[in-house]
Amino acid sequence: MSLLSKMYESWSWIRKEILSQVSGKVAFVLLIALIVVSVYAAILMPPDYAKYWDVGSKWVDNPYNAPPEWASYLGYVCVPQTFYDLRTVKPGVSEVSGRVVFTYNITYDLSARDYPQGLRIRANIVVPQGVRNARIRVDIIKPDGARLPAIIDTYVDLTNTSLIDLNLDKPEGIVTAVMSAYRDLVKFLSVEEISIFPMKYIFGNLSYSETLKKVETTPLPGRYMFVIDFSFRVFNVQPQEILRAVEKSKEFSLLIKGTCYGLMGTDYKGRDLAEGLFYGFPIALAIGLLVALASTAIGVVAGLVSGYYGGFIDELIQRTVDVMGSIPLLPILILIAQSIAKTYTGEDKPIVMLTAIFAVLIAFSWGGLAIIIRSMTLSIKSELYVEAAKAVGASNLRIISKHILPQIVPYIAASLVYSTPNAILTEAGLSVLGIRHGYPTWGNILSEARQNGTISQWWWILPPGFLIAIVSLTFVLLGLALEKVVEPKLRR
Amino acid sequence: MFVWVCLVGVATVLARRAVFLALALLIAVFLTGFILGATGYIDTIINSIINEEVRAYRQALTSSPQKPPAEEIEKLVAQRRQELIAYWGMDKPWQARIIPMVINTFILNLGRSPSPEVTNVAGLQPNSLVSDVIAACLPRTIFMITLAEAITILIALAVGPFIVYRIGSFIDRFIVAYAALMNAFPIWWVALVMLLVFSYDLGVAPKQFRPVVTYINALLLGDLNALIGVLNYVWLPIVTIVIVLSGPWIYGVRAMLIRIVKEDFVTAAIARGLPEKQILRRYIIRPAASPIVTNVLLGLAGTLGGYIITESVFDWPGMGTLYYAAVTSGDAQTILALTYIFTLVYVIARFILEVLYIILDPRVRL
Amino acid sequence: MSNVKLEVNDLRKYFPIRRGLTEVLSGKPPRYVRAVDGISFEVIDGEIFCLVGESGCGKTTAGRLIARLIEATGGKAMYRVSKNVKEMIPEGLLVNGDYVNLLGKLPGSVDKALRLDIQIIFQDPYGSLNPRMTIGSILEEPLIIHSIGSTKEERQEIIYRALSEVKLNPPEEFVERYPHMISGGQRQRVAIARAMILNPSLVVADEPVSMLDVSIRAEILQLMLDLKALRNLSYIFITHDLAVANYICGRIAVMYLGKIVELGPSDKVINNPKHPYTIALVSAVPEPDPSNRTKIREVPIKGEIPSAAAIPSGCRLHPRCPYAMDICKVKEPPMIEVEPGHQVACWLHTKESAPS
Repeated sequence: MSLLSKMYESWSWIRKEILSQVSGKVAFVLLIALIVVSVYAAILMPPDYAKYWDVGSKWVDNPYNAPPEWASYLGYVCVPQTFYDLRTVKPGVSEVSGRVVFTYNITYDLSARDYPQGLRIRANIVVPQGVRNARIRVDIIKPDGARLPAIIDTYVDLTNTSLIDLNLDKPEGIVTAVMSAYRDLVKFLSVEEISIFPMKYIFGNLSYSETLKKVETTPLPGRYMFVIDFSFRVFNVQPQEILRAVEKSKEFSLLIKGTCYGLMGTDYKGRDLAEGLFYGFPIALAIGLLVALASTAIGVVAGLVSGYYGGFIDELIQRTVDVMGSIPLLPILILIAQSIAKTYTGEDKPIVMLTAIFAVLIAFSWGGLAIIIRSMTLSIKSELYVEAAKAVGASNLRIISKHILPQIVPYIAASLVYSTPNAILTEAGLSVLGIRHGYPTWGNILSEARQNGTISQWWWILPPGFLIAIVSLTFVLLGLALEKVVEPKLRR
Repeated sequence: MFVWVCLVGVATVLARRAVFLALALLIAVFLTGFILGATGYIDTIINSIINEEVRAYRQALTSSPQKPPAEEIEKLVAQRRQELIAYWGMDKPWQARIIPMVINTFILNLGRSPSPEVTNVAGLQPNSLVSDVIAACLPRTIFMITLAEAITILIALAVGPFIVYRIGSFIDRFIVAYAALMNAFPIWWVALVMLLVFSYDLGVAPKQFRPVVTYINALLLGDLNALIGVLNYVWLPIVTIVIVLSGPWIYGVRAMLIRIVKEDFVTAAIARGLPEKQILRRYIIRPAASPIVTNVLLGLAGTLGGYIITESVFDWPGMGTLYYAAVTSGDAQTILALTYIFTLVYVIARFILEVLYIILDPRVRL
Repeated sequence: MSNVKLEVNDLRKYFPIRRGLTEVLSGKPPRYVRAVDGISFEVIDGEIFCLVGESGCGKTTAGRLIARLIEATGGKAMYRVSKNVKEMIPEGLLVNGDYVNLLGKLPGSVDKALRLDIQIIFQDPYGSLNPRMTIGSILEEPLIIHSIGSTKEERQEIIYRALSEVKLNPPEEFVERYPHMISGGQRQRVAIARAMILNPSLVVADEPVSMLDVSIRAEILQLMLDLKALRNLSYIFITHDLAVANYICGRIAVMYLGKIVELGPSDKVINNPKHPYTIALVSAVPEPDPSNRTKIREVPIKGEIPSAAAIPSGCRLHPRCPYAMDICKVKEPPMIEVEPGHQVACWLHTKESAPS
């Protein structure tokens, strides 16, 4: 209790000193922001976030390698993500030879001079008894008047499942559809080209290039019409009943994937980088604080023991610090991380690798503080008031906690502050090198960018580093302010 | 008599330091060997090499015209495997393989690199001597990292004394803010930004840096015309490093000088009305010399190992990239050699410092 | 023997000198600073026993040994524990019913119990109070350690009483202050209060007034005498100042280089010094009588006190002694009683013949 109040006294003094400086004020504001965002993200973070981030199913709707939406201000051509909730659209209802057909006419305005990245139709409908199967057929009428018939025409058995998920990034019927829509170009069209880049042929203007001796496409802005025929083979079911089921369904939608996405864009798997970066806050802070706390704690204990008890243990600690200081840290760290990456095969590999990296980091980073604490302990120990405390019967523990510890609190604080960004920076540095642990940290996003992206995908490669730098800056500024507390000579 | 006692004292202190530094060297290399062995990393690598060779051997046997019967193939393959296991020493525990390797490293018997990735960084044939590989990569690191660090240091030494009399002025505040900013931004991140801007956006710098090898080789052979070619490649990395490192360096020099400016003997010198230049030279620079020399020497010594991450970002074929290639390809021979050399350089620098302290600071004498 | 509070016998404290590597390698024996080199004396119940000498003579070390702040190299210090402490000490450690050897290995609980009984006041009131603690918490510390007073209020009460006992009134004004907010004299009062708050029966006072302004020395000394009269106290009073010693001491032991050279009732030692060193010390005391002030008095001792690491052979004073004889260089003089209760260690006063 008394120790706590002593600590609190020290702390409030430090806080006052820090806030009296500009760098301290900036650092404080940044720190508060950092903590607020981290806590908020930690609360919102999905359980088992690592899996959530890694498993692709959540991200299939997103365009991949897409810059953020605001990139359009930087001169990027952005096709926005367009989503149609077909449940709210009134279809034309007809009955053709035992099938109930709902026809949805969707107009889509493409204004940017670029191709959307893909198409997707998804339905999750519990159909009434008596519906045997469903069929979805999509025609597209282009602004130039060409009609692509049946780019997809597929049957789905709805007796066992209620889910229909059609990924139309490479629709089956596209080749025949294009061939039939552009009869004059047929002999120049390459089947391979069409099936590799279907979106170019759906959303492009086709023309024959004399120089290249092939059909070229250019983006074709304008109004597109999607004609979606959703039909059911029924047995004794009223069309209205099916329509109600469609309207009450969990999902029935058409998605036209854009080329830009969200606040921070996406990576090669279509993952929303804004989300990854947001959830990276608490992880980064936790990593930084964990390593800082551990190395500071070891440094304080080692310094106190070394300075207070002296003798053989002091010599041992001193020499250990000496030797550790001469061993190059980064090469050893890289070696250990890589060795584990190559040899460990367990499920928990990300955690094992991170733990190993941090253990090495902690092992190598307590020495400096230990030396400072040791020399402070030595000088405080020889103070007369410590002898006076001994004379009234104070135990070693009491002398350390009541007389020595309160005086080294600023140094402990400074050490915490200085070493917090250390772990974040090191982890990121290893990731940049390409040593991947797989846990979704900022460094991991960076390492995937280095591996699967190019440097021109700046929205992917720069923000994680920038956030790391901001966190680091917060603590550097805090350290700058603390430096004047710790070293009064620097005070002006 | 007194001089003799002093010399003996100095020698004792230096001998003590030498012993501990040598111990550090020993521990560093043995630790590296231990990591390689205990994690099973080299075993994994060697096993995959053996498996590959066995597979190739089986392939050759089955596809040969006079194909032996299946039992015969199995026998031959098993025999081949045994041979390979014996050749690589996989029939012995890892300690029996690593310890001789570590000892050989210590006597600078560095051996050959079995890894094509490693020799490729150096631009040499596979299975080259490790010492040749290192000799090829070291100049490239010196031309980039060491040069950049040296330029940074010169800037810091020029700017530091200039601002130490202007503490609290606008320029001083600016430099402190700049230092804080650059302390926070990792070099590799700034390097990525620089690459993006200068190589990809503006196109004024190269996108690939490996070709610098040709120019550096030519320059080392005495072709001064190649200097232009080297500069063409080296300017961006150097500018990057100088931008980032000059912040903390200037701040460091400034802090060391301030500590001394606040000393009473400087105040006394100012009170005596000595000219600013003279105070700086006589009363400030000299006492500040030993911490500054420490930082300079350790900083420069540190560069010889290359900045592993920064070199990797630029794909610069220097010592850092070499080390990383050795680690990723599990080339124990090169890893041990490089760890040995990194630590040796650092340890020698520390020892030189010990000697310099005694020369620079009259109080350190016994 | 029942009126003897403390009997010190052949007390020694040697500090080892750190050897260089070459010295270790060349097999030189370890060297020591012999700060206290075999001293013996008794402290009687309720008396003020003084240790007097120049700085570096080992008197402070002797005080610290008795306060058990440092470990002795050798010797015995039999201490008669007071009644309330006696029950905390196991039978096995008690000699002659009431005595404990302070210098022996003692279990932690006995060590703690003895700290209730023996206290020390330091020379430097600026250093002996933790600048980061309030006066209140400085005084509370011993109470917490020894679990005196079960509640905060009870301890507060004890602290107030201790403060008013040392004339720091009103106490509530002092408890919240930090040491830098009060004067040197007041600090020393706090230090005295801290020593007294545990109700000790033996107090080692290590030059308690030498760092104070001359104007307040007498007040502090008077306070110490008052406290002694109030409680059943014995003091071991350490000082270099014979004038102070004359004022306060019952008996005096004069120390030189770790040895006691003269011991006796203070009026006899000061008015009739026998040892050349004591004579020198006495003659160095400023003369209170104005009529004698202009006389140039001769101080017979020359030079400075040698280092305790290189103690002269024989009588330690012989290099500086004007009366040094041949025997002084080779053989240490024994302690001789020259008159009842007055002992001297000097060949000049040794009646038995020296070895030829």
